[in-house]
Parts: sequence; C-alpha cells; structure tokens
Amino acid sequence: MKKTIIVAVLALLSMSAFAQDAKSIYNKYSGQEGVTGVYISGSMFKMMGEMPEIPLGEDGTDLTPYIKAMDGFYLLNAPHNDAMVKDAENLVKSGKYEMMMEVTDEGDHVRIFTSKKGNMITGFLILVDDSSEYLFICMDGQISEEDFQKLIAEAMKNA
Amino acid sequence: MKRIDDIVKDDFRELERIADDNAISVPDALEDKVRDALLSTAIRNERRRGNRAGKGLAVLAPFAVAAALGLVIWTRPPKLQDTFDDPALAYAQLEETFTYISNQISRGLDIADEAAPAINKPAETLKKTLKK
Repeated sequence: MKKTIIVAVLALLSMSAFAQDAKSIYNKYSGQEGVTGVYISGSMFKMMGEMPEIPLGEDGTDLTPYIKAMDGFYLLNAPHNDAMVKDAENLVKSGKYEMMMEVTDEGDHVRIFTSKKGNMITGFLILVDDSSEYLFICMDGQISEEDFQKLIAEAMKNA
Repeated sequence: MKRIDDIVKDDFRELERIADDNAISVPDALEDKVRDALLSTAIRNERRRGNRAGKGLAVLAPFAVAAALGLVIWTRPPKLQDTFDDPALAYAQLEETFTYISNQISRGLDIADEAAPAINKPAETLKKTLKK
C-alpha cells in the first residue's frame, strides 16, 4: 500500500521533468499570435538526407552529409517576450548546454550553446536578443564535433 | 459462586456485607489478570482500528494512481507537426539558418580579431621593458 502511494507521488513529480526542453518551449509559444515557429522533425531530416538533388542556389551549402543524424529543429521568432526569454534562460540554466560563444554588438546579444556527450554534439542552441525581437533556435541530434565544424565552415564559406 | 446478574440485583447493604466477609477469598493475582485482560482488549481494538484505516487506503490507492497517471497523460504536450511538407523547403529553411549562424560566428571572430592588437599590447610592452 505504501509502495502504491510512493509510485503515485513519483508519477506526479515526474511531471516536472516536462518543464524545460526545446520541444516544450516550442509547444508553448509556436501557436501564439505574432510568433513565427518552424519545426523540422527527425523524419524530415532523413528525407532531406535522401534527396537526390538539393537545390543549392548560387551560394548554396551542401548540408546533406551532416543532417541525417539530426532529430529535431525548433525555431521561434517573436517580438520581445519576457516569458519566452525566461523559459529559454531556464533551459540554459538546466545545465544541459555550455556556452560556445557570446557576441554583443550594435544592440544585438547573440549566444551560442552546445551540449555534448563525449565527442558528439547532441544539441545546439542559439539565442538572439535585440531590443525588439527574440530568436530561439535549437537543434537536437548526434553529430561529431568534427562534422559540426565542417558544417559551420561550409556555411561560412558561402556566407 | 454468584453470577453477575445476581450481583446486579443485590442491594448496596448486601454488597457491603459480602465485601466485609473475610471468609470469601480473592483469587491470587486477580489484579494482574484483570490488568492483562484489559490490555489485550485495548490492543485488539487498536489493531482493528488500524486494519480499517489500512483497508480504506488500499481502496483509495488505485484511484490515486489512476488520477496521477491521468494527469500526466492529460498534461503531456501534443505531438508536433512538421512546418514543411516538402523536404526541399525544409532544406531551404535549414540552409538559411546555418548561413545566419555562420554569420554570427564570423561576426564574433571579427570582433575578436579587432581586439587582438589591444590584447597583445601589454605583452609587447612587457617584452620591450624586459629587453631594456
């Protein structure tokens, strides 16, 4: 009987585990007025990776070698929103991510974070805060550090 | 030996007479036996009360678990839908995002490059001073 009650309490406590991750933040804000949300699932990443011809355009970047291992992409762009900022900050404070870079320039505050497991990057988070807008981008997946650096270098080459 | 029904019917004087009669002996350790009997009755009653409470909780516990599970399922976030149906469009969004990220990284590196002379200056000053 005591064990049953303990199980019930643990089930209730586990609700707190839903608190802050990129998916829950995206769920919370994507449907709100004035918020632009983009979600790309792991299945869509696999489909992208299997596309025979990617329409790269003039300065296109071929990301296909790297994106098959991605699980999710979450983007939120909204007018400055204190609640969203707070939730994003809580996600950063959760300890899952470590800061890779921070740039403050011309009123823009840009922070880039990664989460790692050994040599694999399992998550990538970028937060951009200017006085009028807030941008939240999060990517989940399993990509080696080396591949991630190639990915960024490839994009920088064509930027 | 008198029965309880008979003792109850006796009046007060008869009971006093019986109490004063030294010929009637009280069984040995009667007081201890009475105390033991009262204690065991009290313990039995306490156990019965505990069992009732335990049975009540045992009946309620499955409902508590079901309510907790229902709450967990109800508050679970809905499954997300892809924003794009076409992988090409999703790819275009991804490419735009990575271009933006690389621009931000380049910007950071440019600012760091601009700061490099200022960072190196103290070291150069120190070198010149040490050479003298």
